[in-house]
Amino acid sequence: MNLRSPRFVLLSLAILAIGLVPVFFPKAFLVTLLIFVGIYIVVCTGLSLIFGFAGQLSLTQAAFYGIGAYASALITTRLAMPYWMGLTAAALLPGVVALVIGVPILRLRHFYLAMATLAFSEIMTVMFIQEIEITGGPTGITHVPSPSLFGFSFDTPERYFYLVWVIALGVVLFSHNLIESRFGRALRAISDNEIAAGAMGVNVTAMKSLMFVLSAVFAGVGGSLYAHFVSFVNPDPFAVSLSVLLVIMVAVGGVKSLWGAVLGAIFITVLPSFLGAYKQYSMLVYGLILVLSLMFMPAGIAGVVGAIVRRLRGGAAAESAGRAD
Amino acid sequence: MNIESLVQFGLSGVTVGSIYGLAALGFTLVFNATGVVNFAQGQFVMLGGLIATTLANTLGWPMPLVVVAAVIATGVIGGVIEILTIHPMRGRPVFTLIMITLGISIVLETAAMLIWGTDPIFLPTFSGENPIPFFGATLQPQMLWVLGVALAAMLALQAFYRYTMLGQAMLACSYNAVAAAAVGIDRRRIVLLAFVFAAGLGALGGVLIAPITTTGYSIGLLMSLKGFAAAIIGGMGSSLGAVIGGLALGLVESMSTGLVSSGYKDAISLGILVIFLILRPQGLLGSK
Repeated sequence: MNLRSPRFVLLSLAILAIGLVPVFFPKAFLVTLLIFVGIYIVVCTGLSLIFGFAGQLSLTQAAFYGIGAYASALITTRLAMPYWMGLTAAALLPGVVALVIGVPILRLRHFYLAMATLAFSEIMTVMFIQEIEITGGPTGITHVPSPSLFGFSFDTPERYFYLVWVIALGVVLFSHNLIESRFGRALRAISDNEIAAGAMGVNVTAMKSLMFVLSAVFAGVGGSLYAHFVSFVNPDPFAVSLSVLLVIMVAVGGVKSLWGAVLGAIFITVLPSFLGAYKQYSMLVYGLILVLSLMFMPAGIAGVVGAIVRRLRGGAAAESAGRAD
Repeated sequence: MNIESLVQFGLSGVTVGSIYGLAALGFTLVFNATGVVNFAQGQFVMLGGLIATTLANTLGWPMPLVVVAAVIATGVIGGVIEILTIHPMRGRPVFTLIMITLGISIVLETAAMLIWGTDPIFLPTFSGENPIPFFGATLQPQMLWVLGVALAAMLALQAFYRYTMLGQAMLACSYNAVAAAAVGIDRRRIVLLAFVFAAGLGALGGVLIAPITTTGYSIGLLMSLKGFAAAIIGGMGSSLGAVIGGLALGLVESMSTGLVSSGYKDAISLGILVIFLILRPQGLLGSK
């Protein structure tokens, strides 16, 4: 990215603005809300890699999110190990699970893959509830400690905010570089036409597996961030409905753009606060938004923003061209 | 497991299996007409049951009327969904249509939660609750209703396919949509009809099973998965396969309740779905 490009300046300003929120609004609900936004950005960026760029509809991200949350919580409570080990396990364990289940199920296409991943998500929910000796069953695991790294404890929401957003920024930048590389072009080729991509020498199976594993790693990291923020883990948040909600975030934001995943995560997470007393209608609104955006804006919010920017630029260009005449 | 409990689990397996079979038939109808797997299929099962609870418990309608009205009402909802979302989007990638049905599924579930609340709701049995002894096990009268009505519905659907012009047209569309259009079949009507029938069949299952299991707003998504599993196990696109797949899935679930634990039954049946998808995606009856 060019350091003087307007995109870079805008991005830096956005990061600065978000970074200053806890300074100007300490102890505010906004800080908590933005922590959740950051967590969902981490998870959605991963989903965007497998769903948006590789074109494989995965309805099982909540399972990886849950595995990450449980792994991190168990290691820091029952095994009393340091936080960084919990976070590492939360990244690695879902990655390994994704690698193992990915080999057979990523051969499936379209709705077969969607249904298989949805089934896996439901199976993991059953496991979280039933494997009481590991997960604590419906009551779950309590007293998950606040994380501390290098002797610094992230024990207030304001401090935790920075941990979440630094990780979110890292995940987004890593993914951005990944899709701007050779990998990214190969991925887009797979999403456009798997057979043609294979014929051009793209190792389709390996690429899909890699993206699935990365999506699981990011979801697991998100799960760990969630567990240590709310300080307890039970099966409820990791239900199939979260898998569906995450797909809505990415689809509404814009499937073919990383910024779409980020915008979708922000939009869907922030929306209930605007509904106020009508918060119980939020799922209804999400569903309607999904249907309407697929029908009327298939490129998502990112697509609409892109079109507006192009029109503004096009308008400016046309104006200067007119003056030159 | 002794023979009595084997019979008992077998009976409940066949009962629940018939409901999965009806849901699978709905999947099959829509899949054959459009190539779309309708994620909202399970929500029709939920809607049928919940509409019936309102008609029976609140309005006090007689049971036969309740069944017919709930099925028709849900069928109309299915038709409206087709008119509002599927028809305007014809020609778009199948993937987009599938995502839309996922969105519809969420809308229906949340709407049901807002209307009927989150508690499970009972529906009265169709005819008494005195259990009938059956080879050492007990048979609830409602089970007979489930099996009888489900069987009748399946036979009626077959008769419709075989003996009516419209049914023949539907079959023709599922074999070859282009050729069907070439001989003058109105595909628009066929797709609409497929959604209405799929919703009605799902709703019928929902009404039949509600007196045994109770019903609630949240059963839809799992019902979609089970119905899809039944359709896949039997062989996607085949009506007979849908019924056989449903019964097989119901029996496996019921037996795993007896042999393992009821908590794991969903995981076991969905595990079977995943195994079928990987190893035998054409299902039991399919050939490829």
